[in-house]
Amino acid sequence: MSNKNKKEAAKQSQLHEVWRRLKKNRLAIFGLCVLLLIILLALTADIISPYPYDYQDYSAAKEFPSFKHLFGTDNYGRDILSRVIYGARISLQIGFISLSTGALAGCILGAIAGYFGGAFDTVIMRFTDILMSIPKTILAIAIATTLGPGLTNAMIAVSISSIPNFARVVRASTLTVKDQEFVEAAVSIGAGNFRIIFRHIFPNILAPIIVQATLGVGTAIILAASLSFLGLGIEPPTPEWGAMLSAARAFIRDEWYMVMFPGLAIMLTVLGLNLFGDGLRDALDPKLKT
Amino acid sequence: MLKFVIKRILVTIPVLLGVTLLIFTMMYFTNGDPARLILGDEATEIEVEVLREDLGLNDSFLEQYTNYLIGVIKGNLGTSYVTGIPVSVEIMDRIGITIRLATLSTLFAVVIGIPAGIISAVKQYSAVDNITMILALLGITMPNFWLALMLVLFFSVFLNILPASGLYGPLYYIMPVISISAVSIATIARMTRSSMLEVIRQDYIRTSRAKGQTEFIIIFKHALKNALIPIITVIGIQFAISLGGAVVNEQVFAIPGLGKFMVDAIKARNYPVVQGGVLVIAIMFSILNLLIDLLYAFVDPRIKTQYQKSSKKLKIAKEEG
Repeated sequence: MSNKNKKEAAKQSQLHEVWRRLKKNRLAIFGLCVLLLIILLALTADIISPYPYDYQDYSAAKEFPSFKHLFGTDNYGRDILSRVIYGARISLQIGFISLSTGALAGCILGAIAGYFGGAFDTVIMRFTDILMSIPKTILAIAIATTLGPGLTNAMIAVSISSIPNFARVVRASTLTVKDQEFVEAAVSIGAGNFRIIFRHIFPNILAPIIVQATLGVGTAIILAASLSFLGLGIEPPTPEWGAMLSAARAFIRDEWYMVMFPGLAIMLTVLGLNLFGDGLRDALDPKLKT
Repeated sequence: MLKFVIKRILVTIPVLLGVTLLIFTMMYFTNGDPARLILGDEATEIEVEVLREDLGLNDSFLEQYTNYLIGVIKGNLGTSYVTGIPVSVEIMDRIGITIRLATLSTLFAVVIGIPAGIISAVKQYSAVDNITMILALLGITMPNFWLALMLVLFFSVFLNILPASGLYGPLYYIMPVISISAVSIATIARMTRSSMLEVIRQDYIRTSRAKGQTEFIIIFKHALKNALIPIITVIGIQFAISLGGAVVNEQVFAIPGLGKFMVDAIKARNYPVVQGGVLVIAIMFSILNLLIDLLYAFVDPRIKTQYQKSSKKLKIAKEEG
């Protein structure tokens, strides 16, 4: 019991230490606040958005921003503010789900490559080489073409394109950790490979994974928005930011506000993620900070 | 050195083969029967079946892939379903524009990004540094197609000084290049800053300051040269990102490059074009990566010695054994 408490305390103090360093970084906290605000908007979209996202009022189509419609209305008379708020739900969902599945797959592949080495390493790393020799946007476009448009397919496309980065980071970190004494100790008391990877190696390489993940969510959101913008991702009338921009493009000459707000929403979300991610990197690994 | 070059080239070949397999597999599993797509809805089942046989679509996966691969090696990327023109010809007509856009954007990013990063590092924590880094952050967080739309809004709609679409002269390049390169400028500036900051703290910089060397030579000769390797890596990656950016931005500015061609082809389910486009981009990117790796070996003496050592080691081992 006391042993367990000690372990808990050690874990807590480590977390506490990271949080203490993070708190000092004003930009990171600002990023976290922006991010939490957008998550809150996404969760409470049903309550706070002034109109349903698909409510069409043709008598109020293409209205300039006013108190009635803060961000104006689109060509179908839908309230843009409401659509942007609902869009947060979709973009965050795409960002987090597609990145975490991609990250999970990448981590497993990277750990296997790094830990077992040999043929596993060669096969997995050549596979990531192949994926990486196609620029990310183009790879996502190719996958989305194969699967066809739609929310799930866009998420699959984005998640596959994020696999190689994680596989590389995890492989490199695994290589540096696996020769250390505590792994040797675990091997000598007869721990299985599975146990060693998940109980001993992963906790020690978590920092680069977390950093990569936080920054990756932003990239994933932009990538998914690009797919939708090209008409390969989420299709109208779903209020996805990229799809909204794609639809609003035709009206740029006279109804410029239609192309303004969905883009600002993407930018703000990714900004929050990046500021928080940068801060987290500094907090997790003080050595990296110059 | 030659050994390194040969080894690096040999590594590229299986990767490229892998790329062809990956792309072929993806398009193999794409929905829709190509024969039906070519002939349209009015064709009879028998006509479709004959064409399927002609196109080799009834062969096994492996046979089809082998045929595809042989075609690719000969430079034959298939025929466009829509126009009936060989895909390689259609791609050649358009790829120049895309390469030019991506290259100009990468160059622009280098020309702006590296000096910005150097100034930021030399004047760390100054107002200039803060402003540069905030701009860099915005550059990274802004989706490039949205930046493109904003540029169009500002320069074409509001000010009416730049053309919003097409590609008929130097003026037409300004907005696409800015919007494609924004991410790269930001990334290169950040990388240059952190790489320079690391180098500036080294002892040999202090030594050259101590001996009274001018600050200009210290920064550009001693520091920048040593900070350059991570920056070169980033520039290589940025070229790939610019290619992707060009594909998306061609859509915004209605530029008749490879990207617009591919996206239009996707909408028309003209898969040989998509397949060929992705393959050509992947090959270009692999060759570029190869060149960057070779460039490293010239810039970084450590890589050179690594290979010398191993060959010397081998000699010694042979003599002993």
